[in-house]
Amino acid sequence: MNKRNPEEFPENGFIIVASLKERFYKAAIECAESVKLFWPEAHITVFVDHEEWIKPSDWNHADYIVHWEVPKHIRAKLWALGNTPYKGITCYLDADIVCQHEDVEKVFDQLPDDLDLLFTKIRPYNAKVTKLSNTEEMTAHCGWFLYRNNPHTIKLMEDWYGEYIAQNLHNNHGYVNDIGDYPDDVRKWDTFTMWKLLEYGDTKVKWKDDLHVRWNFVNGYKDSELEDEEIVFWHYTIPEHEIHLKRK
Amino acid sequence: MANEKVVLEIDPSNITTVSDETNKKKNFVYKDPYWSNKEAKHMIVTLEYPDGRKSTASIQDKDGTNPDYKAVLEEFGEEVLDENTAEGVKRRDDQIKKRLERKETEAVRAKQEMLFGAKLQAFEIDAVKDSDNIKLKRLIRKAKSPMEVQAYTTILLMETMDEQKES
Repeated sequence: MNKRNPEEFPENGFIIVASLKERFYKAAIECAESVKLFWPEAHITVFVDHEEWIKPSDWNHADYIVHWEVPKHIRAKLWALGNTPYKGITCYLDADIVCQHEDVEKVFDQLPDDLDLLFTKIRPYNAKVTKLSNTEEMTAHCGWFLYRNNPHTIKLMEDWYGEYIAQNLHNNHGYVNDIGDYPDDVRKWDTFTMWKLLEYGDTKVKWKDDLHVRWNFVNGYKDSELEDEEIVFWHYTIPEHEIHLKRK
Repeated sequence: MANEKVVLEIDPSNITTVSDETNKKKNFVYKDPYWSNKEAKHMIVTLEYPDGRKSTASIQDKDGTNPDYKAVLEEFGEEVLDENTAEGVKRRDDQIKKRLERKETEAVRAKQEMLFGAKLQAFEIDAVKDSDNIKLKRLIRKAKSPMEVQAYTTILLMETMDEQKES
């Protein structure tokens, strides 16, 4: 029986977000299903911006499906992060992730007591942009991470959404807000926004990006990165042509 | 008319001889010279023209008389050519390394996509999707090759058929 009253939710849980394209929602449900396959007791919340996409059978895989107030925005993810229903630790999963190992049960143990936020590292050989200048590099992979529900971490998540919107605000003359010498290309990456907040913001959030790659193994990473460990979360990419397809 | 003989009359007192070739002032500057083969006195240099055009020149001094070779060496010195050569070799090696890495990443990605595609297809089969056989479904998810995916999918389907027969 799913617990659908947030007051009864366990301390820790997963959130997955899908917006704008139904294919992302399909992927989100598949992601939830894969987590439940290896850890049936896991608690999963899916945020979706289109109520009409939700099928009754989706409740077999997600414990809680939220559509109310979810913004129809390409980065609804950032809105959802600040609205996590979990009071302890939240594991954020991009929709295009599948779980493939029983060790998923140990996921919340990965966040040390002295940290608020934990990422895996981006592998530059497999990323579009990492280097911003000779001395500045985005290293935290923002498609999978663990974070604690405390006021300063939740504020960081809320700022992430606000800053992302500000960074992409434009009028007839171009972008409204200056991002310094960084190329406009990076505006679309929420990784850039988070990097800015962590590097130059006045956040008290204690964070690291050194979690083992097995927790967020992205398509294209070398097997040698695993150091004989098994992949727990496999991060693929939904092909561009599929994004526009409706769910069967 | 076409075959008519034309007589050329030359007045020997009225011949002007071409004087020594005058030194034309070069309208380019040498840039970034490096050795192609130092032992063979062969260098490569970029010629940059005032209008911004650039061209690459290959200069070899087989018999010690090539004025361009001499000019480049006088302007830059042997050490600069040695340094430029070492830098160029490093740059080329880096590019080769990067290209190989890119190729390797593409190959890895293609292989991983094929494996993931096989898993997707397996889970799109209704009998697999709806099966309660958690053990086999986990093995399909964890499979490390398309062959493994196929094998576990087949076992799951066979077990499902057996169950259906029994019931």
